Amino acid sequence: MSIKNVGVALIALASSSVLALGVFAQGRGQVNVVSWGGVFQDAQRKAIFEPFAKSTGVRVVEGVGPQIERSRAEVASGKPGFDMTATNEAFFRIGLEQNLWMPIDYSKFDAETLKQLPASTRHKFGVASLIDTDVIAFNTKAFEGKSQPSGYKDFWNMGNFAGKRALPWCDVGTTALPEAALLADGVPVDKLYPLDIPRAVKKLKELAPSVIWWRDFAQVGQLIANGEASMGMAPNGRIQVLIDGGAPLKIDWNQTRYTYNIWYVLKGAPNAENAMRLIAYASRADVQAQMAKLSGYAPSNPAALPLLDEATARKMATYPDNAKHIFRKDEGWWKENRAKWVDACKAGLM
Amino acid sequence: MDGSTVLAMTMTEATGPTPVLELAALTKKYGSVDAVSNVDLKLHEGEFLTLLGASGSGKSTILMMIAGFIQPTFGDIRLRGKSIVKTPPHKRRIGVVFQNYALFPHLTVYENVAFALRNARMAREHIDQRVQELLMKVRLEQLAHRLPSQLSGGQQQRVAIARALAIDPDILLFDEPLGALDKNLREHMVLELQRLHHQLGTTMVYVTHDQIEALVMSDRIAVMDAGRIVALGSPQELYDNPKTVFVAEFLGNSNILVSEDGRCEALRPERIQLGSISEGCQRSQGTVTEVAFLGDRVRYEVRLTNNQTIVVAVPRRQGIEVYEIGAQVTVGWHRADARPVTRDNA
Amino acid sequence: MSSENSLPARYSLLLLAPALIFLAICYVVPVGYTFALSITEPALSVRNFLKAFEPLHLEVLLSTFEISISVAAICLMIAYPMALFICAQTKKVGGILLALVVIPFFTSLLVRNYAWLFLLGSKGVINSTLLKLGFISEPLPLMFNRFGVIVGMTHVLLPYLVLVLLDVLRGIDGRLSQAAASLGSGPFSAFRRVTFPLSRAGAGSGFVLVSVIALGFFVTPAMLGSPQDAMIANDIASEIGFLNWGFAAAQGILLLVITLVVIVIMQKAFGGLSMIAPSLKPDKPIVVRGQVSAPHSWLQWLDPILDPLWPFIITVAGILGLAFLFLPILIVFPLSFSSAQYFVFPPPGWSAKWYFAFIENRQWTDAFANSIVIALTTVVLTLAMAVPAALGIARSRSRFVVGAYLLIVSPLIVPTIITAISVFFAFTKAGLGRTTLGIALGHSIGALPLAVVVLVSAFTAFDWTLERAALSLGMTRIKAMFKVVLPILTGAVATAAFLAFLHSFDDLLIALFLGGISLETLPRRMWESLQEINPTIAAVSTLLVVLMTVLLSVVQLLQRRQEQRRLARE
Repeated sequence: MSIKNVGVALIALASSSVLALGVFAQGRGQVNVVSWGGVFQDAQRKAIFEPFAKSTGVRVVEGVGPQIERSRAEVASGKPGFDMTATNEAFFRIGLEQNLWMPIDYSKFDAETLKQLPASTRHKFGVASLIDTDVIAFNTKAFEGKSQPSGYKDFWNMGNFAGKRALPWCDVGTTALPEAALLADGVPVDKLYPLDIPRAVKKLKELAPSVIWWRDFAQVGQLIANGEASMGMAPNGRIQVLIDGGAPLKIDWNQTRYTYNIWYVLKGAPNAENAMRLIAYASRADVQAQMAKLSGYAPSNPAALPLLDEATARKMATYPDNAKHIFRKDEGWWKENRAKWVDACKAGLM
Repeated sequence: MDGSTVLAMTMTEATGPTPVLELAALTKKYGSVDAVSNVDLKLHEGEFLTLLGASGSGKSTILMMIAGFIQPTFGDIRLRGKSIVKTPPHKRRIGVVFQNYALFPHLTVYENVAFALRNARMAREHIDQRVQELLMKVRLEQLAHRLPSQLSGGQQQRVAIARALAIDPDILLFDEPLGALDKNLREHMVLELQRLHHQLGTTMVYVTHDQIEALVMSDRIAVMDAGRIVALGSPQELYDNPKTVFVAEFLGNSNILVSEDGRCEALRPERIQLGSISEGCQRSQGTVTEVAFLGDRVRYEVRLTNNQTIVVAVPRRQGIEVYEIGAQVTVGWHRADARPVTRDNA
Repeated sequence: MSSENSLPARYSLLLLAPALIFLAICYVVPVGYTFALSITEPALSVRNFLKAFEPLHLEVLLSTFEISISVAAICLMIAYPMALFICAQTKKVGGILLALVVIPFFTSLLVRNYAWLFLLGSKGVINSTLLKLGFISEPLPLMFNRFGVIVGMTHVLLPYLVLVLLDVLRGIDGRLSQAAASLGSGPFSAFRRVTFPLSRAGAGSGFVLVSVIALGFFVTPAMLGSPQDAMIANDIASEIGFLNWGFAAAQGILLLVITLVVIVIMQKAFGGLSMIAPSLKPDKPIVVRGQVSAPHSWLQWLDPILDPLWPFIITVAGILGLAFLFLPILIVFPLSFSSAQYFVFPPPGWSAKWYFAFIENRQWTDAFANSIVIALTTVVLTLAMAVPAALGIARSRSRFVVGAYLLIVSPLIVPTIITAISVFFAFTKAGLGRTTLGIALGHSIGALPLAVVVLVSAFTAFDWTLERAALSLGMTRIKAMFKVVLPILTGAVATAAFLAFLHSFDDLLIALFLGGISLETLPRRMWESLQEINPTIAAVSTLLVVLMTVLLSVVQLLQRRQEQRRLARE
C-alpha cells in the first residue's frame, strides 16, 4: 500500500468517525431501537416506526441484533447506544434479574389499550410486543400424496413419517425441546409443567439417531426446505419467511408452545421517554393488527385479531382453530430450571 | 602444463577414443534470448576444462544443463557416448560443487559427505570407511561432527568437494566455487584444487569469471561470450596467441595496437621493454603519463608519438631504472610478440 | 542467527513497546476485568471454576483440542504439497496460483457454511452425483459429523498454512535440492532428507498458529458438525447469551491457560521456542539433535517407490488442494443468481436481482465502505506495531521476549466474544465506542498476532549482513530498515498485511459490539440478512471474489509491466 492510499484511508476514517458520532448525537426528538432485521424489521418499520415518527415527530433510529449480551454491555457502559428492544420473555426475565431494564411508564398508554392488554402481557419492566411460537414445520414434498404429520407423536413416529428431524440442541435458547419429548411420550398438555427432565431426555434419546441438531436459528428452516430433514421444530416466524419466499414448507399448529416477545427499555437509556411513547404506540390494537398482517406473528393485544381480514387471521397462532392446539410456556419454570435441563440433556445425548 | 594438454589439444578436432562428455549443438533459449547458443565441446578423461566468461555469458547455464537442472532447448549432452538429456539429475552421476557450496545446514560434515552413500544404501561400516577416506582426502577428518555453520569458508569448500566425490562421479562440475573467498584463501584453494585434480584424476569442468583461476588450473579454457564459445585452447596457447581482441583483453592484459589501415595487434605489457632495448626489436619514443608500483613489477602508461597509449609492465630487478611521470622514454618489442587479432568474435 | 545480530535488551524492549502498550490498554486490562467476573459473579467464589472442571465441560474442552489439532494436522498435510507445488512453478505461474489460494478467503465465512450444506448434505451435490452414478446406494454421512467439521474448518484455515509454508519454503536455498539431486537423491528423497527437515520448524510454527486459531471457532462446527463436535467457544458464547458471564469467563481462562501451557510444553519438547518462532533459539541451528546422525532412514524404503511419482503427486495434490478451496465458490456463484427468495440449490431460475438488492441498498454499500476503511486502518495500525515488535522478538536473546511473544499470541486463544465484550466497555468509556477507529483498534488486537508470527519468521531468516552493509554506507538503523530490510521482505510484509486485512474484513463480533446500533460492517450486515436467509449475501460474496480477482490481476499486470520497463531500460 502506498503512502497516498494510507492518507486516503485515514481521511476516510476520520470523516466516517465524525459521521458515526453525528448519528449517535443524543437528539431530543429521537429514539434508538434495535430489532431482528430483515423482513421482520421491515414489517416493524412500516407498521410501527414510520407511523409513530409521522404522528409524533420523533425520529426512530434503527439498529439490528438485540442480543441480550449487548444490552448488558450497553447498560454497563453507562451510556447505552440504544434505548429499547424486544426479545422473547426468557431473555427479558434474565435481564430483569440482573437489573438491566427501566420500569415501564404506563401513563404514556391510552386507557383503551391498557384495558385491552391482558395482565400476562403487562410487566413492571416490559410489555409484550407479539406472540412467539415454536411450531412443527415439515417439507411438503417429503409427504406429497401421503398423510401429513401433526403433533409430536407423529414427529417421533419414524415408521409412518420418514426423514430426518431437525431439532435445536440442548443449549439453544429455551426452545420447546423437552416439552416436545414429553408430549410425544403421552403427557397431557395440562400436566406438562413442571417438566419431567429425565423422562424428556429418555424420549429424546429414542429419536436421537434420526435427529439433525441445529444450533443456529438461521439454519433450521434451510435444513427442512432443503430436504436434509423432513420436519423440524422452529420459531414460526423463521418458517413463515421461507414459505413467503416460496419454499415447500408447511406449519403444523398442533401442540405449539407459545410465549410473548417483550419490549423493554435499557437502564440509563438517553431517550427513555420517547421509548415509552413508542412502546405505548406499538401496543395499540390497530398498530398490532398492521404488524401481525405484515410479519405473520400473532398480536399480543387480543383486540387486534378481529381487525384482521379472515385470510390473515387464519395464519395467526391465536386464531381460534389454531389457538385450541397451543399452550403457554411456563417462563417461571424455565427461568429456574434451564441450567439443570441443559446439563441433563447434554449428559444424556452426548 | 603437463603432456595431457598437448594431447587434449590435438584431439579437439580429430576423432579418437570416446570423450567422457560431449556437448553437441547445445542451445538454451529463454523466450527470444539465447542464453547458450549452439555449443559443441568434447571433454576427455582426466581433463580439467574451464568455462571462462563474464556474468551472463552462458557458462553457468551450460553447467546446469550438464548437471540436469536446466533442460536444453535443443542439442545433445552425451556422457561416455550415451545421451543423458532425458536422464533426471539424480541418475546422472555427475558431481557438482555449488557457488556458496550449498551444504546441508541441518547435517554434520559427516552426514553431508555420507548423503550420497545413504542414497546408494551402502552398509553402515562401508559408509563409515568411505566418509573417513573422503574427509582424509580434503584433510577434514578432525571436523566430521561439526555443522557447516561452524566451519570457515575454505573448510566448507572442501566439504562440498568431498561430498561431490562421494558418488564417485564421472565428472565433477564446479560453479564459481571460490567466489565467496578472500584473496589469500582463494589462491590457496586454487592450489588445493590443482592438487586434488592431480591426485584424483577426475574429469572436471570449472566455471569462473576469474582469469587467474582459469590460467592456473586448466588443461583447456573455453572463453565464452554471449552464449558462445569464442576461443578454446590451452591457457598458454590462448594467452600467447589470442585470435581476437576480446580474448586478448579478457585473458590477462593486452595492448591493442591499431595500424593505419585498421588492422589490430595484441601486445602483452610484459613483452615490452623500456629504456635499454635488446637487438632486433621494433622501437618507438614516448612520454610516461602514469606510474603504478605493484610490488614485483612497475606498471607504466606511455603515450607514444603517434598519440596511442600503451601499458608496459617492467619486472623489478636490480639495475633497472624507475622512471617518473613526464620522463621521455624509448619502448621496444619483438615483432613476433605483437600478435595479429581480429575484432570479430566469430 | 548468530549473537552478533541480536540487539541489546533495551532496544528490543523499545521495539516491543508500541505493541505491548497497545495490548496492555486495549486488551489486558479490559479482558482482565471480564476474567475477574469468573470469581465475582454471581457471587465471590471459585464455584465457576469447579463447574468448569465438571466432566461435561471438560469433555467439551477436550474435543475442542482434539478438533483443533486434527484440523491443523490435516491442513498441514494438504498445505505442504500445495506450497511445494506453487514453489516449483515459475514466478509468474506461482503468483497466479498464490492468488487462487487467496481468493476463496473472500467468500464470507457465513455463506460458506451454507455452500457446504449444498455440497455435503444428504441431498447435496456430492451425494446426489454419487447416487446417480451408482457408486453408492445410500447418501454418505458427509456432514453433521466430525467429517463435516473438519472439512469446513480445514477450508477456512488451509490458506493460512499455505501462506506460512510458502514463506518458509521460499526461504530455503534452491541449490540445496539441486545438490541433493546431484548426490543421487530423487525428488521424494530430496524432499525427505533436505526440504522437509529444513522447513520443519516453520511448518511447526504454522501448525501451532492454525491450531490456535482453530480453538476459537464456533459457527462452522456448530453448523457442520454434531453436538459431539462441540467447541468450547460455542459453550462460552451460549453462556454469555444467558448472561452467565462469570462461568463464561472461567471457561475462557481455562482455555487460555491450557493452551499457553501446551504451547510452552511443545516448545520445550521441540527445542527452545522454535515451534512458534524459529528465531527464538539464537545460537543453535534449528535442528533437533537426534536427527543429525541418521535422518529418517526408516523411511528410505519409500524412495524408490515415490521418487518417480513425487512430481506427479505434488502436482495432483496441489491442484486438488486448489480445487478444494474453490468448491464452495462453485455453489455460491449460482446461488447469487438464483431467482428464489431463499437458498436453494440448484436454483429454480435465474435472476440478477440480488446484485441490484446489494447495489441499490445504502445499508449494504455503506457497510461495504465501512469494512474497507476499517480493514485498511487495521492494516496500518497492525503493521505499525507488528514490524517493530517482530524485530524485537526476532533479534533479541533476552528471556522476557518469550513472555512478550506469548502475550501477543494470546488474543488468538481468548474467545472473540470475550474480547468483544471486554473491549466494548473500555472503548465506550474512552469515547471510542461506535467509531471506525474503535473497531479498527479492536480488530488490531487479533490481527497483531497473525502479523507478528509471519514477520518473526521472516526476520529470523533474513540475512542481517545486508543491514550491516547499509549501516556501513552511512544509513541510520531506521533508514536501513525502510530502505533495505523491508523492501527485501516485501513478501512477508504483504502476507502480514493481508492476514490483518482479512482478520478485520471477516470479523463479526467486535463490529457487532463496537459498532453500536448502526455503524455496520459487511459481515455484520451479512449476519443480519442471514436471520432470514437472504441470497444477497451470496451476491456480495461473488462480487468480492470477482473484485479480488480483478484487483490481483491488475497488480500482476502492473508488476509485469514494471519489470518489462526495467528490462527495457537495461
